[in-house]
Amino acid sequence: MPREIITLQAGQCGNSVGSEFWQQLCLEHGINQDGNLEDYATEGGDRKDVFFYQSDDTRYIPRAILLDLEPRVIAGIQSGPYKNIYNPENFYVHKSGTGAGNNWAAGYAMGSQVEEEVLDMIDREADGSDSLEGFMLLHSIAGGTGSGLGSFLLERLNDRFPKKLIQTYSVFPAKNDTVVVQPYNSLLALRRLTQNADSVVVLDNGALSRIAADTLHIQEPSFSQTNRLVSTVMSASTTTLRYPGYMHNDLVGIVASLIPTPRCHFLQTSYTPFTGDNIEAAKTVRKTTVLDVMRRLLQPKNQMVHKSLLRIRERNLANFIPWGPASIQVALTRTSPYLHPPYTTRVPPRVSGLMLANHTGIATLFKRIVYQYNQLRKRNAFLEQYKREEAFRDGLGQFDEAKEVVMELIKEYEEAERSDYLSGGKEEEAANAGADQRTDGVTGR
Amino acid sequence: MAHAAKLNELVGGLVRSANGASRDDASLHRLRDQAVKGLRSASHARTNQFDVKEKLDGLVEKFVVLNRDDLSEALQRRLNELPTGSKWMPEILSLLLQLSDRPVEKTRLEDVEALGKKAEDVQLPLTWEDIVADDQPNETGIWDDVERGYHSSGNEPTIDDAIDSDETDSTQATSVNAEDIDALARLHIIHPDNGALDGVSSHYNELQNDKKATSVSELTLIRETLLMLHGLPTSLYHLDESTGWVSYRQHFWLETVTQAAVRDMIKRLANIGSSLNTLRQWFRSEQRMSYLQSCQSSVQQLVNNFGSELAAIEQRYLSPPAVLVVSVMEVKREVENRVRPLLELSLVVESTQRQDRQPPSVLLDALYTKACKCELSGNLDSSAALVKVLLAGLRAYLKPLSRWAQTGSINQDDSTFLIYEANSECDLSRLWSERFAMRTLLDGKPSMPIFMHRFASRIFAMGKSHAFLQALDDNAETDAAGEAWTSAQSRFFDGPPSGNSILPFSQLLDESLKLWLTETSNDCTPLLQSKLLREHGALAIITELSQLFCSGNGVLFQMFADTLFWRMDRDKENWRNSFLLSELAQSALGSKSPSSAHSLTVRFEDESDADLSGSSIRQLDSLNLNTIFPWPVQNITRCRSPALYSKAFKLLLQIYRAKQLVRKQQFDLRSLYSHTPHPLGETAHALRIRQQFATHVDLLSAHVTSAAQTISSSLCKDIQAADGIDGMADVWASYEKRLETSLLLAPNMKPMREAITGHLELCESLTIAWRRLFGNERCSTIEMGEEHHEDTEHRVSGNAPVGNTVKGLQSELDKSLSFIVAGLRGIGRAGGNTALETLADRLEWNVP
Ligand SMILES: Nc1nc2c(ncn2[C@@H]2O[C@H](COP(=O)(O)OP(=O)(O)OP(=O)(O)O)[C@@H](O)[C@H]2O)c(=O)[nH]1
Ligand SMILES: [Mg+2]
Repeated sequence: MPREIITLQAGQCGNSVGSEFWQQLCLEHGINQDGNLEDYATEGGDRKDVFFYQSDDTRYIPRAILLDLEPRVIAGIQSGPYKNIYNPENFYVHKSGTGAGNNWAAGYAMGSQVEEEVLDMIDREADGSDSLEGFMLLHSIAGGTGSGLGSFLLERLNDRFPKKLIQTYSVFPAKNDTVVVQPYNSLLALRRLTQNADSVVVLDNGALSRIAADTLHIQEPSFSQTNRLVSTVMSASTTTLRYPGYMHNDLVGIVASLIPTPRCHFLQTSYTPFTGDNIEAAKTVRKTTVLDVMRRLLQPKNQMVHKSLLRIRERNLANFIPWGPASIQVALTRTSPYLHPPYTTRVPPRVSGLMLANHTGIATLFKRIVYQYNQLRKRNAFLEQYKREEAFRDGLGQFDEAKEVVMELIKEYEEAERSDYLSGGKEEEAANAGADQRTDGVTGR
Repeated sequence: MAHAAKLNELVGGLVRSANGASRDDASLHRLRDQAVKGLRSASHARTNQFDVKEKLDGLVEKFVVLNRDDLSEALQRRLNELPTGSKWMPEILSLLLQLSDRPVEKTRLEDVEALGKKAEDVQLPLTWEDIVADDQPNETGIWDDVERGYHSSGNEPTIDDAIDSDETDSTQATSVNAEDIDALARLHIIHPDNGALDGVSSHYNELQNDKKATSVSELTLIRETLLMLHGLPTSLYHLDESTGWVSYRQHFWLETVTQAAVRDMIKRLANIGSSLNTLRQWFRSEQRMSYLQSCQSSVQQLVNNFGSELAAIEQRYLSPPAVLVVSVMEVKREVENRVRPLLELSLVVESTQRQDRQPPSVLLDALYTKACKCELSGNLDSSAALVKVLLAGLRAYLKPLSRWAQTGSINQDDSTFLIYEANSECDLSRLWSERFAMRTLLDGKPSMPIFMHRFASRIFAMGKSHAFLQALDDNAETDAAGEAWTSAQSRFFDGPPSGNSILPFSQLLDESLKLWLTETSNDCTPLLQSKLLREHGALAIITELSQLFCSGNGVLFQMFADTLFWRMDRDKENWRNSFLLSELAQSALGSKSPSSAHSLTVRFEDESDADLSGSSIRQLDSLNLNTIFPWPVQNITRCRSPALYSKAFKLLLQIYRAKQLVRKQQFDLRSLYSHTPHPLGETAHALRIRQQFATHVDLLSAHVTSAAQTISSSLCKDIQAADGIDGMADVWASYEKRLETSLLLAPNMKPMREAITGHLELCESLTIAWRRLFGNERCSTIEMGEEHHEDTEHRVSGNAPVGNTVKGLQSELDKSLSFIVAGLRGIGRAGGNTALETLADRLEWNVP
């Protein structure tokens, strides 16, 4: 009874990241570019069936649905080295092929056009799995397709699969993003992420390129370089699903104790080490952070766990929500044997760790988006293209609703820092919330 | 290096000269090494030259006083010749002084003078072998019929006896026709001529009957004494045939000595005679045990040797040299000198015969103790004799032990052998621990010589290993081993540790026994262990235990648990279907554990007790997952099935059940949000409790699984390194203990275990509250929102039932958590179990 996960990738960003992710999974599971097992991949013990199914000729095929409103990225995938692994029936490229033009409303509007065909694909995949665990949506929130069509899909999935987990890997725009209207798109998408997803793994493009720049010593990392970081994080966060150990073996299990309330489900990741071949660089950026301690945790000794946890506590390396237990889960997992010599020439780090954290610092990111939105909205900038689309036929109410939802989200994260939060009573003292209770933000820098 | 080599050589030379072993004698090496060890470990202060001087001063004079002028002169001459310049002189002299052994009595000056002269100068006494070798007998006729009766001088109690028992063998008989056999035989029968003894017997009777004291000559007394010592009846001594007790007759006197002095001496001699007769009687007695027989024959030999010495004394009086002083004193002195070892032996024999309920090996022990004592007191003759008898017995004693150690077989008829088959029909699963047993004495010590006690368990285990191996693969091996054992046992003591060795006998014997054990052993324990672990899958099964019972593979565990819970939820009354669930366990849980999967079963404790109305977590209490170890593994685990692991499995199931309940609520959050974007009041509180439970359940499950995996993986490592089956069983037991504590399953932790179940049950209460809060009212957003506002108000005013429920849940949660945390701390601290302390810390961490 595998707990299958269906991956939906939408738009340029979603598909680029997705293609990187699948390459990574193929490497880890010893699947070659045609979807067949490599001769050496005999170790077994891994669970390929979470993300792949086997065709009649026993090839491994990703449970992936690739969607875009323009052909460029998907065409690239279809002519790339791993073109043969995908199920050709799972590509959806809109015929007109012009994309959503970085317009959330256009992408969202296209939703109803493509709905039937795409939902058919999703249903077919869902029917093909024994016990579906849920969905993973890969997209960016700044563009048109990933953001708008992605939002539409989230709404549909929410209705159609109330008892399946909906997780997204959402790429947030950097401050200086090239897409001018990204605050509009982000805000609109953020509303759906808040309302219609169970958990959102936030990938900040700004942070991603800083990490890439630091570790790779490049000024302007390319998307393919940042995407490799993303795929590493994705593969690490799914390791417990794919290499069954004695702890968390499904997505819900991982997120259950991380998500205290319906809204507070935005998770940040940090991963160490990002560099396998550049240890010197890693040394220069190391500070004692929660992450450092977490890395120690990953050494397979109970004793270690104890000491390291004490350090987190004693040195106040992290603050925890004052109204709940400090939920630190340490899951030790095996890793793919095929990432080690002799299968590769690169020696992987002896231990590596991924931290998934839900901390209130994330609100800053949302505030930034609201701020930028306000700046644009004040000037009534770029509103024309939105008004043309279905969702804004009756005015700009969509924007206001979205903003309200996001403001509530920010407020909840702020409230969560107070000790009386969720205590069931409002009359209790709100005074001692003055200090900065934010958990120590670790983004892997 | 050079020093070590030199030392080795020197000590080798010393040992050789001490025990006369030749250079290539096998035991030499061993003795030398022991000696070197001994030398090394002792630190030697320099000899005190003043001590030496003091000892030497006056020695010359003392010899004169003791009437050994010759000795005194010889010593003085040599002292004069000493090279005074040598710096080692005090050492040399001190060594010589220590080597000297009652010089006044023992030193024969001829020997001293002969030192250094060529060996050929010393005339060896002529022996018959030499004569025969020189001069082959050629007159065939005279060798034909030898009537040995008349030459008998040995052990037979009476002459008559000897004649009767003698077979007269004719070398001619074979060539004569069968009909003539009778006639021929008749020809050879010699009729004793009773008349020939008339004179003797009348004299004897005279002596017997004569009540008045007679005077006897000293020579007679000597003759009678010697006869008496041979164990023969005499007229001056009275021999009690049944006990061998010798007493003397009162009524005779020696012309030249006072009666008292004679009596004293005679009494002493009679005592010696009695002792000798004790020995004689003993070695003629019938003994069943072979090692006793060996001792007997060894003692007999010693007694015979003594007999020859007596004969030598007799010889002196029969063909006296030119001048001979007839002195019964002298004879007594000589006899006393030589008989000492036999007297000791006789004491030993007597002491062992006195006790009637005695361990069979008591003789060996007594010999051992006596030998050590004699050695300590410098009575080396006696200790050598005792050792000789002891070793003779020991060799025989060790034979069946060797056989046991090498083949695992015992002689069923031997009712005294150390090892006996306690339960030949015993269940294979207890083969190791129950089939054989060691015979013990009343005090619980093994029934074997005390000096061998420390080898007992090893010997026992070695044999058991063989027997076990045979049972394991039920085939040959026996034969090969059977041949092997004979060859090894003969090696015991190539050279008996003689009295003049440097090491004390006890240590020497100990070393030899150790050596015997290693040489004899062909120890198959390692083979057995690896067979058991690998071929018979013990390792696989032990590894699989944590896989199967402790969620080693979380996917399989979830697969089983999810299906089980689905059945539970669907059919509250009838989910306890052992058959179906066993099938499920085998196919789901066991799919990656080929060695144990087929024997997985699910059972329920007595159905009637089951509380069907209780929480689902409580109901899981009655479920037992089980597997049955194959019999070889049972010998390690000493139990049929892993009961502890069943309990661990149950605990994990309960934790997972709680986890599943909390997990389901995760899916409600999304829809909850669409109705109640701002959770307030009870809803908020429920969310908070859910978050706490989610964390606790995760922490518990992480603790249980990781502790089980950690313990289990070190168990696998340690059990492979364990020493023997007993070692493996010990490792297993100690890890069970660890697991029991770490998972709070020990009987004395029942309250903790209960508290955890209770805590998990609260999760179930939360589910009910949750369902009431969000379940039915989901469709109407506004209603619900309003309701909650009302709730809040009610709660503030203090009488809303719903509010109380969730609030009550919180307080129960807090109570139960603080109990668990305190308990974990206590147990963790007491047992030094940091994992438990960690768990406590983490459960409690940041709880408001
Ligand atoms: N990390 C990363 N970000 C990307 C990548 N491609 C685009 N983005 C980011 O995504 C945002 C733009 O969204 P896209 O994915 O290009 O847009 P789209 O979903 O294809 O929508 P349209 O092009 O408007 O149809 C910008 O913030 C980019 O910085 C990528 O490969 N990796
Ligand atoms: Mg695009």
